[in-house]
Amino acid sequence: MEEPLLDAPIPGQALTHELGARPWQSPPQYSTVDEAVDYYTSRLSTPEATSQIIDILKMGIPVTSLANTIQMGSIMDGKHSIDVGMLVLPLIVEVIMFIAEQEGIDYDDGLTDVKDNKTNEAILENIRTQMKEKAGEPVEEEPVVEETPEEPTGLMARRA
Amino acid sequence: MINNPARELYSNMDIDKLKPVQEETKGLLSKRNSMSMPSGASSEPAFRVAQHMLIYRKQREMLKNGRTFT
Repeated sequence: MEEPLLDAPIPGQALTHELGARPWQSPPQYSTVDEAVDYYTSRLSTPEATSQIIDILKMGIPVTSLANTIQMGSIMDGKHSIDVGMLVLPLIVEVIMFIAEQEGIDYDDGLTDVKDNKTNEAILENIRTQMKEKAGEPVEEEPVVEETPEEPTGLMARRA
Repeated sequence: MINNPARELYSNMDIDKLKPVQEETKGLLSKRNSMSMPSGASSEPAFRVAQHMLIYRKQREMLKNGRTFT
């Protein structure tokens, strides 16, 4: 018989916390985009923040991921709302790239889609075949390897 | 599902086509705006963010080209 999971949270337990106790449940500190822009430009330009950003970018973390993490952290801290965060996010990307350029480091901006750049090899091969057929060239077919039956080697095997 | 909207938001800003806001002239015969809130694109928050981005991008391109800025 399956034992009851007594350690699991009760459904709705997440909603039982006192309303307004979490930072994101109270009104945001910066309610307008202009205030949020001032907050980020001043915060990201401090020497501590700059050195941390440089270290993270040197590890190969894309700028877009870093920017998203920063703005999500600010939402959780109750600095601004999600809407303001979405509006300010491109600016954070731009500021981080500016810092990286200023320091002269190589960084991944995260703006190029990896999936788009990858070309499917099967599609390429199909195109090559079609072009060869149009040009009248003989299409190279892979040689068919005939399977040779293995001869039984057991004691009771029939001998030739 | 988009986990990180930063790439899409940054690409959609399209600040290359953005025209910089011209400063208002202060002369006596200059055109005066009404006292109400500014109308048009400049009142949009995204436009103001794009203006900030434009400044940063210009400075970044100057750094890329090896020019220093003051």
